[in-house]
Amino acid sequence: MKIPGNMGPIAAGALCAALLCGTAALSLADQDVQARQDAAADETHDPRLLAQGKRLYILCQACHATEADPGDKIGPHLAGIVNRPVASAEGSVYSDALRAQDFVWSEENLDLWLQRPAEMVPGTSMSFVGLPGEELRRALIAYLNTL
Amino acid sequence: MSVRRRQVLKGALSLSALSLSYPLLKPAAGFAAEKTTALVIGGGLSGLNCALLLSDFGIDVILLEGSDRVGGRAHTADGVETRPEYGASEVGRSYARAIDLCSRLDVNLLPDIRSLMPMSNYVDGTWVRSGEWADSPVNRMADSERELPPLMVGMGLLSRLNPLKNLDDWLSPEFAGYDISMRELFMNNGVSDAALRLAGVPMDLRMTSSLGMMQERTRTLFDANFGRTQTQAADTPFGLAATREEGEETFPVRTIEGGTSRLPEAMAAALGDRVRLGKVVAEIDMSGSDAEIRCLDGSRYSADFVVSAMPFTTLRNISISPEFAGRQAEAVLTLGYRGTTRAWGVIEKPYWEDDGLEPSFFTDETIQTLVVLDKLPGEDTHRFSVIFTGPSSARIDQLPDDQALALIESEIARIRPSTKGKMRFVDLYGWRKNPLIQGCRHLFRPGQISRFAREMIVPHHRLHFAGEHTRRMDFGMEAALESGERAAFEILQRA
Repeated sequence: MKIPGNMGPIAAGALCAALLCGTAALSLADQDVQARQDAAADETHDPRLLAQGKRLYILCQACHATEADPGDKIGPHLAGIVNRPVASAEGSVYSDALRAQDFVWSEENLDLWLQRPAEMVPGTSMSFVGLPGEELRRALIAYLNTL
Repeated sequence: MSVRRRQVLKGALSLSALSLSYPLLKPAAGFAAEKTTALVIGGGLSGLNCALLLSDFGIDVILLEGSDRVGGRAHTADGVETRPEYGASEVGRSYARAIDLCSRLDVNLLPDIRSLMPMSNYVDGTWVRSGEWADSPVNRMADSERELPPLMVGMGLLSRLNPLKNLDDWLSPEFAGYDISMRELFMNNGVSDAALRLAGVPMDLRMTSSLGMMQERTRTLFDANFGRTQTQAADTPFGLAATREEGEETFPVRTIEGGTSRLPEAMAAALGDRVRLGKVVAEIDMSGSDAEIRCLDGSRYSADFVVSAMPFTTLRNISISPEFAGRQAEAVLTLGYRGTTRAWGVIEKPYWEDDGLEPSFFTDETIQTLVVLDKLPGEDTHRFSVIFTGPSSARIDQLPDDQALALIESEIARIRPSTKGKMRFVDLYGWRKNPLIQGCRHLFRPGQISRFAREMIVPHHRLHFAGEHTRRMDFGMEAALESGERAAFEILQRA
């Protein structure tokens, strides 16, 4: 399974389409980055999307704290999860499979992960089956971005 | 008509007077429906978790429980000496929801350090100590089967044939070929007649889907290996693997301080008067603009969403409109359930010092399994539990409790005379006899996973499904909590 790096290509078609008014002078790569930043900024401030993401977090809350102290929860905390290096929360339980990885929890990687964790990193100890809807994942990641 | 109404009212009044001493008989104050957004039916761990999560999100919720207590199959026998657990007792290391709820509700978890004492075997009328079993002439199994202790034959053979890797593989059509009876799976794989016979003592091989049991082995392995560096074996006769790694400080399995019931009680306390006991539901009518729920006592509720957090054995008794259709109807009406019956007591004198056998034993006769638990520091006596599962539970449940207890005691004394007068029984409980549950757990029959495991949890109009039988990934208490969380999630997407 190829895991995109932090600055790697994204499935930006939809985002680009939404950004036809972007500066024409930008290179394609720059457009991608710009599109992503704009979209992220939009989504962070979209109250409807954030509210939906917060509701979706019901699927995460038993294992993952939203603040840096994980308390008794069995998974790593998710404060600042977006762009955090993989398996890097101190004192958390990680599978060997996840520890062996070397990537950053970019939004693209989170999206891939949330589709089906066991497919992205076989042997993970995260017993979450996955979130099939792309829109749902977008909302959840928008919420994760606020943590 | 007016006369009849007066009679009804009069009846209601006299019931109200009675209700001072029997609050369960109290009818609704009026006949108008009480309105709520979500109505959860069933006060076990799944229903309670669903109701708690919904109320966390500001959703109005009422929970109806048919019996006079919450907890369902989490039931600590508080008044009984040694305080037995009738049902759930183990919190695995990967039981995220149970651990989180305990933390949130100030319920303590304690390491489960009480270990099972070694187990001899009484097979074909002959006693064999555990260490001599593999080479005993009584052991007529073939080749590598021979090393399996008799109680573990079914689970051991199943583990060897289990192809599942991920916790949700059981729902994938790729593995539908394993949705056959354990008997058929074993026969297809050349299992010996002797092994089939022993495997059939604690489990009904004809009526159990191999695939369903494989999911449980996969989940048990997942728990045993959670956060560990070396792979653990997880073949245990009951529940989770409680082995500890060398030098490991945390205990893999924990129990709830004061008894398992403390968790559902704390959940119910957090919900306060939204939990209503003694409410047996008779009807769910979703033909109008909302769901109308009627209880046997005449009380009525209207709700935007309903959660069935009951076993299907109970849901079957409720009139549902519009009716279930297709494979979902088949699931509600035919999903298999299994009984577990246990007797508990204390050992007055260690009888194993007299006969040289090990304290616990398995037998292919009536008793099936007697487990003796090690004493904890400061305890004077050992505790024991006689455990009947599957077919042996169905057989013993045919007797009234007092007769069953007398028979269990005399039968143990007959096959193992050293126990005579040294065991004191304190209680007996069979889940099949609980009228609102009728079994200790669901058990997919052969072919049922392929037929309806996916379809059975799809919301039916305003009705959503929770309960251990609707689990997707988890096991035990965690399966119940998982299902309640899923139902709450579904409703949050609609509300």
